[in-house]
Amino acid sequence: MLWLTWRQHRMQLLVTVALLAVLGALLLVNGLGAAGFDARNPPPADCASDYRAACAGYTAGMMEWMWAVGDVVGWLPLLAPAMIGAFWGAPLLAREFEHGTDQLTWTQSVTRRRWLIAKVGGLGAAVTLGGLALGAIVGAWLAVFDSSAFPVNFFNTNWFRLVGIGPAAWWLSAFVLGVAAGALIRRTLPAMAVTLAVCALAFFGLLSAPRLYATPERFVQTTAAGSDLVPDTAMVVESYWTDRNGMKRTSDDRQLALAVPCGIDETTKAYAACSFDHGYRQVQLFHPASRFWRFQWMEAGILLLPAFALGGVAVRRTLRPRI
Amino acid sequence: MTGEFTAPLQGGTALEATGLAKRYRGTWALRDCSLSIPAGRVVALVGPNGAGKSTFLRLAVGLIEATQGSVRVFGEPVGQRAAALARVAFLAQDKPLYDGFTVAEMLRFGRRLNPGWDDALARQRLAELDIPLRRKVGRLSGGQQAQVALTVAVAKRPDLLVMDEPLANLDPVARHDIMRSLMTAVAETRMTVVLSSHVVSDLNDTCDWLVVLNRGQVQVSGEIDELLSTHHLLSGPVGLADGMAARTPVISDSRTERHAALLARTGTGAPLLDPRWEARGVGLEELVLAYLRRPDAAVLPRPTLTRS
Repeated sequence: MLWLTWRQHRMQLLVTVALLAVLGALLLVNGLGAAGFDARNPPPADCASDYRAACAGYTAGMMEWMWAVGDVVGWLPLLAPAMIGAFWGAPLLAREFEHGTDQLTWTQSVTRRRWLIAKVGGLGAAVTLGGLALGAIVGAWLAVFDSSAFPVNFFNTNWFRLVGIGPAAWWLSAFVLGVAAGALIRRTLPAMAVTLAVCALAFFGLLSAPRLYATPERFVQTTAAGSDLVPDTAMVVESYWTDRNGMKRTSDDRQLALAVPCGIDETTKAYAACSFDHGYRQVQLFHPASRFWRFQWMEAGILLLPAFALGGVAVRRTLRPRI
Repeated sequence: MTGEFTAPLQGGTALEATGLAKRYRGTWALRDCSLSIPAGRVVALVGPNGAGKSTFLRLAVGLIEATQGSVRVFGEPVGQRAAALARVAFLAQDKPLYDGFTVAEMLRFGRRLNPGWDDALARQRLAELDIPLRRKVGRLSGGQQAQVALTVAVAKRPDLLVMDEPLANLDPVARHDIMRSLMTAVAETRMTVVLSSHVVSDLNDTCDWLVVLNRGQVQVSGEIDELLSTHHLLSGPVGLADGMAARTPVISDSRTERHAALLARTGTGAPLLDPRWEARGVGLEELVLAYLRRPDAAVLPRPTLTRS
């Protein structure tokens, strides 16, 4: 069965490994470039607390390196699982049904159960490994940038699905979804289309879901001196001002109310100090970076549980065929 | 009771269906189908299109599950255990193969998936047929593809080979070649063969057991020689036809103004008491056609259903 699985799916395997290798090489070159820039232009030691022109130059330089591959990396969270579902998952059963080869392969001396375990299990494991590899590659690349002078926010929607177990969860659930679509629809192209559509729906549907994965922490800033105490690596859920009565105010409200005493240039420290003096408080709801893994596992669960439930139905239908 | 039937060759029951029925979305493709086929036979399963032949064969090899009843091959339902699957080979109607595989890879497929695989037999057959091992299956001719599919089925060394319309979509030369290869394989391995067809003339010289399936039900099941010797075409004066029909089961009945021709189940050596009647033997095709036109008439061997 191992040989048959390899023989029938080697194209997908080789293409996926090749694409991962190309991505790895691209990110390696980019990461080395960024590290070189970092070595040539070391950031001032106190960038994290005190923002100056030299820090701005460093940040801009690192940002430039990061976004040099932004187009490639930016599409990955959507494209990679969709392709995995459509090309690894959907044809697995649908192609057999469409070409009638299920009648050939399931009448050899291998039970359907073993055939399914080898195919779905083997390829599922390969897909999971591929996803973990992608997570490791992107994680290693981001680690080059991540420093106190240029903190990388791993909650950022650009990265959250590309690091840790995120890609593995997305890939595996897309694969299982594809298999199930193929088993239930029994034709390759419609199964691929359905898989792509559901992947896209899940991608956009869950885009802002992580903010709901836990009750956010609340930070109230009362003086200008304390600057920004919500770390850059946190996921900010909401940020607003309250006036001296504790009423929630929009930015425009505040500007209007403070125009006379504080002026209109919001960017100065004096303006901030003036706001606080007038009883304004800045409230921020956020998830600290320590919740990263918890959120990763929650997203994995949200993806994998429905995928496995659907996959179970499909496997059952395949093992006890009525058609 | 299963041990008794495990002998692959003469003496056992190769295939036994009991009350087998299959419904697709509210339509019965097969109803209350019971029959028993002895091992070592070459069985022709005939019937018009849509009679339920494919459904019956797919049920027998475990590709689909019955709505009611059961079908057993050598005493065991197929599909649950690898050992049961190993005893049966199936050649589906379109002779599916993996188009992207080379012929050699198709053999490797057979070897990897079947413990009893006979690689020497497979290679020898393909060499005799002059089919290049390195060619992709998708680039072979239809006849060659059918031969490769048959080779994969035969080299599995099954005790029962089930074929669904093996001759459909083949040109006359390929039909002849396939039939000859099949007969060679049967002679060498003494396996039981069940093949379906809606063209009776293809099966005349090769099969020794006949099953007629009509409108989802088994109409005839029996040894061909016996069936042919117990049916006769009787011709005589039309005035005596009613009397004859009352004494003998008549399958087909065609009358002109003065003359009647009855295809009747007369039994072996049925004496024609009245010299005005004339009897002659019937051909297989004639017999099958007569039964298909009379779905209510049936010949089923008596002891098959009450075996255990």
